[in-house]
Amino acid sequence: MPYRISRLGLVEVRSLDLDRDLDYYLNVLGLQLTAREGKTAYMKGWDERHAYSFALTESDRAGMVRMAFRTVDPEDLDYYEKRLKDFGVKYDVIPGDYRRGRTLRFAAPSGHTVELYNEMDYTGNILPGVNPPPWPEGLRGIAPPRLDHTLVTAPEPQKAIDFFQTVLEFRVSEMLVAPDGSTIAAWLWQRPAPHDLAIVPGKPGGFHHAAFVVDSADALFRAADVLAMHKARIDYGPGRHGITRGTTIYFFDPSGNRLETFGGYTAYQMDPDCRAIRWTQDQMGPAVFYYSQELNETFLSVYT
Amino acid sequence: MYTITLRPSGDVLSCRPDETVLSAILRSGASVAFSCRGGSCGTCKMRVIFGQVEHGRCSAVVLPEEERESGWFLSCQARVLSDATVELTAANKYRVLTWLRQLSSRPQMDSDLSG
Repeated sequence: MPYRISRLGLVEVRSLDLDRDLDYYLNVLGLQLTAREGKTAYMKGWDERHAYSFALTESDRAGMVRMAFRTVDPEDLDYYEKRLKDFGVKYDVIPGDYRRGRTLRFAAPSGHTVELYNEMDYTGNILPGVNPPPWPEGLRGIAPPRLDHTLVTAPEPQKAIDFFQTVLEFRVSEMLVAPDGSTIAAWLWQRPAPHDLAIVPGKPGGFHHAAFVVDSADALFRAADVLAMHKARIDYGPGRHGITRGTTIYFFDPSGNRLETFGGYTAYQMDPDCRAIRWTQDQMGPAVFYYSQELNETFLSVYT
Repeated sequence: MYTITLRPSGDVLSCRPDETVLSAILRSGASVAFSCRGGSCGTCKMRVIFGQVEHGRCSAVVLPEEERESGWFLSCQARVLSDATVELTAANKYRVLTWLRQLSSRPQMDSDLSG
């Protein structure tokens, strides 16, 4: 089975105050602004080569608007359209929206709006395409190179996991298993990294976090410094996850959406035949927060 | 400077017009439940019994209009506009940190220095 999804291409999140939060996203998190169009701002990490990977839209609440996955080839979009039809999933075809081509939009059983697309304007990253230096000077804030993954909540996680596994052909890298054998939560992948998407129990359509790459121990502690210097609200970390082995800082944007710096440099690379790693419920603490070895009170209760 | 009285503890604390109720409680040498500090998780929700609060920016889902009307507010966003009495429940996990309370009841060094 070939890989058909290249990455989590876009997450759109709601903001209670776009002016205030955009300042935070550009100067504290340190994303690059692509454009502001009305009540939405489009952004990306400095090393991303397509037009945008993160959108922030003003609203009367926080939380996720949608997540979008980019297919490897244009034909993969047709392939998935057929699968959506075969499985009786209702979907809309968006002929094209901001700097993006044909998009399939549907609701996952978790209550989230999910999109698949292939074409988005190729802008290159902010380095020259010929003889580039390794990194750009003059970045602000944490300045992550790219979006990594998102974690969302579902009232019946198993149903949502089945949907992403069966219809969209994601694979499970790790799972949290209850004593009765049922799945509490799962980490799902298509690109050969520990996860593009994870699903944990919670309300329908809930947004737990979006994670941006921070790819060294130096960068991890520098990110924590930046957050503290700007008096940003850190939820947990710097630390490490048992699941995925990635390093982490959980923190909140000014509207209360949780974000993460994720250090895949400590993680592993998946191969198509890798079998899912299982974590038992009694080890949920170290599974999530490897060093403190216990879940904090907010991990499963606070999200938007 | 306004005075906030907490129920049921009866603790009295001062709150500057430019600080949130949450920050005034923490500054008084107490701990209280809060999380996102962005007006969206609802962990720091409290109810004003007497007095006026300005709500600040809060999620309409976490603090719906009918709750605002009956006095509920998110302490990480809200400022008081008068002296106020605020009711806490067990969910707020309010706890006086004795050592910190002793320190914060001393004269404020920083205000002395700024003259």
